[in-house]
Amino acid sequence: MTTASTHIGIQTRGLTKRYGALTALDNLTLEIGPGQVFGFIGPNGAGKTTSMKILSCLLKPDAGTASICGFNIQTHGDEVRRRIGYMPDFLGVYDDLTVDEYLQFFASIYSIPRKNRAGVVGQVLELTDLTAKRDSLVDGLSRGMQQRLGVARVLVHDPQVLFLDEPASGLDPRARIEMRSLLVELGRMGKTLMVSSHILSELAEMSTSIGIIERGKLLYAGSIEDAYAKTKAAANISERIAIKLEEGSIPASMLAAHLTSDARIASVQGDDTQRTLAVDIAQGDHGHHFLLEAIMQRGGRIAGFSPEPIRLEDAFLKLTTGALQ
Amino acid sequence: MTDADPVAGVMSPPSRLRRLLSPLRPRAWKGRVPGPVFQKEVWSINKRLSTSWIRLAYGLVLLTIVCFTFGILAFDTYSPSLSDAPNGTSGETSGRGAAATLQQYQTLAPAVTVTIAWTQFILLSLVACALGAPAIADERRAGTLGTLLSTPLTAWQIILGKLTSRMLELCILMFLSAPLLLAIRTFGGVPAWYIGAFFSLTFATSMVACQLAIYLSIKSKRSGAAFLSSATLLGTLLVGIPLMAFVASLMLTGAMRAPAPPSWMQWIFMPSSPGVMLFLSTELLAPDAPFSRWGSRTWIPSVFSLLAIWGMLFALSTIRLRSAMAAEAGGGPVLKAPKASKLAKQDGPTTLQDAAESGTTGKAKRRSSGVRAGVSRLVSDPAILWRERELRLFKGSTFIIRSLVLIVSVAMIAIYWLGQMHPMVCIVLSGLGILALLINAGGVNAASIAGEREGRTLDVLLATPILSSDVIRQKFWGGLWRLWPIGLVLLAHLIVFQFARPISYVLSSIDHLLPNKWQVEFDRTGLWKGATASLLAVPLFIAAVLPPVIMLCASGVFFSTITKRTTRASVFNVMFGLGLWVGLPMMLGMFVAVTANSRTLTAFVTWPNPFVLGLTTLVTTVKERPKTFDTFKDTFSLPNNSGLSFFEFCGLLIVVGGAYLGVAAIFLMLASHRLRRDSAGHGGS
Repeated sequence: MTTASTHIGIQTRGLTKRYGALTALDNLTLEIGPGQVFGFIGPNGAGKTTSMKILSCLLKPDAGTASICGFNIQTHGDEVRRRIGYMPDFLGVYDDLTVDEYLQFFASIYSIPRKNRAGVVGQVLELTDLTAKRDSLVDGLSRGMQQRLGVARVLVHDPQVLFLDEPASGLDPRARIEMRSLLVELGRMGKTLMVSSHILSELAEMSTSIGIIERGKLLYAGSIEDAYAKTKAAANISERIAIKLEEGSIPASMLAAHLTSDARIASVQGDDTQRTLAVDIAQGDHGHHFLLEAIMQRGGRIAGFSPEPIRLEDAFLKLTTGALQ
Repeated sequence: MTDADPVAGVMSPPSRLRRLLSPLRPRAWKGRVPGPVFQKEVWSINKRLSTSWIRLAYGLVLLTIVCFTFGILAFDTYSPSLSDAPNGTSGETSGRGAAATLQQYQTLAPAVTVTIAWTQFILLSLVACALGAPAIADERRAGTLGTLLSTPLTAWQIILGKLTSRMLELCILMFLSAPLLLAIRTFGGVPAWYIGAFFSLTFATSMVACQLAIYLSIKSKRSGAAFLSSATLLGTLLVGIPLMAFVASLMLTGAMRAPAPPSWMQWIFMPSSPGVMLFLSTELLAPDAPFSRWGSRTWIPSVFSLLAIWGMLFALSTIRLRSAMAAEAGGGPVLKAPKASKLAKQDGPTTLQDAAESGTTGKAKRRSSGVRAGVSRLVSDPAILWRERELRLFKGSTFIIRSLVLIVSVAMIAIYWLGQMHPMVCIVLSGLGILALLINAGGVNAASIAGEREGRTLDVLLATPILSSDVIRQKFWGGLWRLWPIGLVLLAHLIVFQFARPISYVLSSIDHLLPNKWQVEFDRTGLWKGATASLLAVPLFIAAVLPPVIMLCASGVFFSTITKRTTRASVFNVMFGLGLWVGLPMMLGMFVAVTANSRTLTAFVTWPNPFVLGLTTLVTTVKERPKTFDTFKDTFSLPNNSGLSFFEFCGLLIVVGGAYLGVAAIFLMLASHRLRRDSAGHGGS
């Protein structure tokens, strides 16, 4: 009998994986609770897939421990495998099976009783909007459809924890939106999701927390809001202002060059073709008036002026360039 | 002169004739032959670790033969029993001087030459298939075929580049044995033209094998399937067809009853390089044997006929690749439109356009058009075993029915025409059947795990709670199950021969309906009575052949866990079987040729051989009007001149079968262990 707690989705302590001289994963420590959608961000080769493979019992770590739903991955692999769904970045499919057969095949592997299989398969097909393709050969599906089938497969046995490696790659814009809402819904259902993606704006919308990894090292793990705050602090920014200039105004690049010398401005970027300025105001109680005055004094005519949120891309860039290390 | 279309003002496409003749234009060769494909392939072949392993293994095989030969020489020189000293002084060379040793070399040289030539011939033919099989299939799998086909390179330039790069590798392997053969030629006195003939035949056969594999690779999804198909087709092309033509010509000309076949029959073997190699070997080892001069007469025409076959295959490959290019350009595989009558019976879309519009692509219709449209099967437990069983060796039951009809027809014709010769026909057909069964057993399971790896589905499977041992077990049984059509054909033909005499009786009663020149006269007295084989023939045959097949399936699963590609797993497994059942007896043959004192060794090596056991069973049990209980009194003659009683033979089958099953179990355990290690080795799976 196991004494595992089911309240902790994913927990790792000092996970390390080396391939010869290369350290693919260096001392990864994180904790992801149930219902959390954890966006795993990092450049190519950062260690995202290695982490997911270790947590899916496909790779053996060289050091450290990890547990899924309270079960240690090294000592209770069978229990872990029953509770996880792993979708690799490149989904290989059995080209000789139909969509229905493919899902039945995995339902059988997960020991779902035969009488329940048709119902389960029907549900996941409906959830992933694949009902119309039920009798199509898997090999004949488009890339996007295959991605959906991959998600359907990991849901067949109703796992507690999902590892999805680039689930949105190859999907058209509409399918991406659908995928995003599906993952958010799964999070609401109390499942723990670890999702890696290169499309950071999508992760920002669906994730409740993020982890940024580079060269095997976890640079940041926590909420998105916290990441933004850290980014602002690291870059000495209190807020970002987007300014739209009127036609016939002084060029944005010239204005930017003038504003750079102001100590209250952390950074400024001007785009002549769009006639826009992106101004990062330095930390401190400076207000907005000084900026409006400075622009108008230099002949700038303002058409629009609005605060702009820090994007996940900015946080990612700041965090992966060593700004916070 | 320009190709400009005066009406549309655009370049009109070149005519079909012009495209076909394009390889003959010197401009087409400039900078393209051997060309970038050749350079890239040579570079990547040489970069692969497996290439170094193949070269090393090949060199080691040749080295083993040489060491074995010198071992025999040493044994023969120092053995008191073989010493020609008058008093047999032990431990001395007994007056054997340099001249005697040289004489010994000369005795041994032909045997060594023949062994090396055959080793080289078999291994290089297989390696050629293995090198050619991934040529296009791997490009497709890696998604690089479209890129390659979108370059200015033409189909024939791509095919030629792929072929020449592989032939370069084969030449390197072939010339590894050159110093050895030249040394034998120098010290052993083997005429140089024999070595030249063996080299030429091996080169030409390898070229045909490689081209055949490339041809099959163009439309194969997996390189392993292309390898297996090319090896089987090569065997059929070089051995099966000439052999059948030979038998047919013997039957039709009545030469079967003549003391020796007429000399014109040697030309039937012209495209069969193994046949010509056999004649050359006979000529070298036993110059006075019948047909011994056929080899020296036919080897040059044989090489040219092989080159002609290669040319034909090259042209076919080019055409096939061109059609693949057209399909790629069209956005998908070229499909034949299903018959309207079939479509009318289906509930789905009625045209391909409809199918495309409704989201059912051509690929999706592929299996449906063969079996049932848009119907999913019910997956039974255990799922992996179910899927393996559904991956049929031969698609559709029509193939099995056709094969059965063909083999039964051949058997019946043979029974009728050959009269008293039918036991021999049964034995020859069974030998070919065993070969087909073993080759397929060698390849069928080699794709089990390596195929999952190639298809990138292994990770998904290993992330499930299924145990590694369950995966291995289900893959093994599924693969074994898939061999049933071959087993069925083999058994069906044995059963037909059981009733050869009554069939002959029935057929002879309608003999008068045929034209006079086709009628066969033979004694019908008592022909309807009795069987042609003992009733024990079938169970004994199964007991002799099934355990080795099981072992080969198990070793296939094991090899598929240690390799990344199905082709390599297939090659390793087929080589393993060949080494065990062909290589070892060949080495032994060489040993026996010198020592003539190795009854125990002969028994040890040849008795477990499925060919030996299966054919010994048939030689003893398939004969004229046997009485079932006579089999109990029969003597089963084995290669070392040992005669075993029925019960002793049954004991041998049990021991050998048990050993094979034990080895199979070990292979499966090793495979499970290996897969467990691959799946991180943690978590108790």
